[in-house]
Amino acid sequence: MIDKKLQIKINDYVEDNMTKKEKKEFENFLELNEELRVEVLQIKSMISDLKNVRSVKLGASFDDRLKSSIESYNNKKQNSLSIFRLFENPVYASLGAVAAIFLVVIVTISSSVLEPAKGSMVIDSNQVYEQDSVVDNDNKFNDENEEQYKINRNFDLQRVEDSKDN
Amino acid sequence: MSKKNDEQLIKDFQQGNQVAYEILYNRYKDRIYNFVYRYVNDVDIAQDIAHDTFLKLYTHKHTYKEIAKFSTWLFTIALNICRTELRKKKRRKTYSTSELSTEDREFAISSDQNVIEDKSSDSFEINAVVNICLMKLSEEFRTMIIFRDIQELSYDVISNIMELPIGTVKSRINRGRIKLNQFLSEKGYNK
Repeated sequence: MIDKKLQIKINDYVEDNMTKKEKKEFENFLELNEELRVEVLQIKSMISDLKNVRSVKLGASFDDRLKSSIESYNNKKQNSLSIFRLFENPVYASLGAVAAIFLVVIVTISSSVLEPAKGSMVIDSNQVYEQDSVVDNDNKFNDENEEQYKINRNFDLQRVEDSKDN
Repeated sequence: MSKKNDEQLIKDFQQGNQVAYEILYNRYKDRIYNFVYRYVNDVDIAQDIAHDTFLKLYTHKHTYKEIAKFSTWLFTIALNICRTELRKKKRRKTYSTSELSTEDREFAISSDQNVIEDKSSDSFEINAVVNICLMKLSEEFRTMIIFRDIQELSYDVISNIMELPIGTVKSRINRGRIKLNQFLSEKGYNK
């Protein structure tokens, strides 16, 4: 396993990024390590071969394909904005403004019509039910009083008649 | 216009100049395609990735900020698309081989090796051997070797794309070269 410093040195040597002095020192070091020296020389020759690896080229059909993708992207973008472009025409812009004002007026009027008048009573059905039951209770109370009154009256009349008899 | 550097051209393109895009495209199309082709070793996939890279350059032009070199930015886009594509390919391969019987699986796995071992035929050439050996490297080593030894990018640019210090890039490139040299030697190259 070669350490990081040596890796960087090999890299600089194979790419000719060393001063003359550094290069000489490194070559002396390689003389003592035959296996490494062979490997470094192989790498050097491999790099020059890699630079000569045949380059691949794109055909004209690729240009056409990309062009059509770009066109469809632009069309998509334009379509999404086309509704706003309509208002660039002064006629459509005026119509749009009139429609907007009309809409505001309609909304204002309808909201004022639907809103309940100030001071009007809101009738609660529960309250009506409760009120009805109160009335019923009052009537019941009155009926009971009348009956009691009749009993008392009959009792009083009976007493008057008894006293007359006496 | 064509004398402008990449950074000036992308700025012009960001301001709506379509000619600037065409110049950048013509400057980089073969470099990007070569990088992608060496990375994925498949002509069709490489064309799709190159296409997506240049489409992204067009649709995401405003994401480029002048803090980085244009080439760094464009190669990073291409590399990210490559990585995504390879991940998808790996998933597809795992799925399809897991569906096969044991016998079929052995055949499927060794099919790539049959292509590699095809050196006795006349079609055997250095270009193909290099591609095959590059594919045997780890993604990181492969990327760095392609960037440095085939694309001839500077260490500064590679360090920015890989988001690693220059010293680390240098040592990893050297390790990758040693590995690649071993693979090439195994294929009868270098002897």
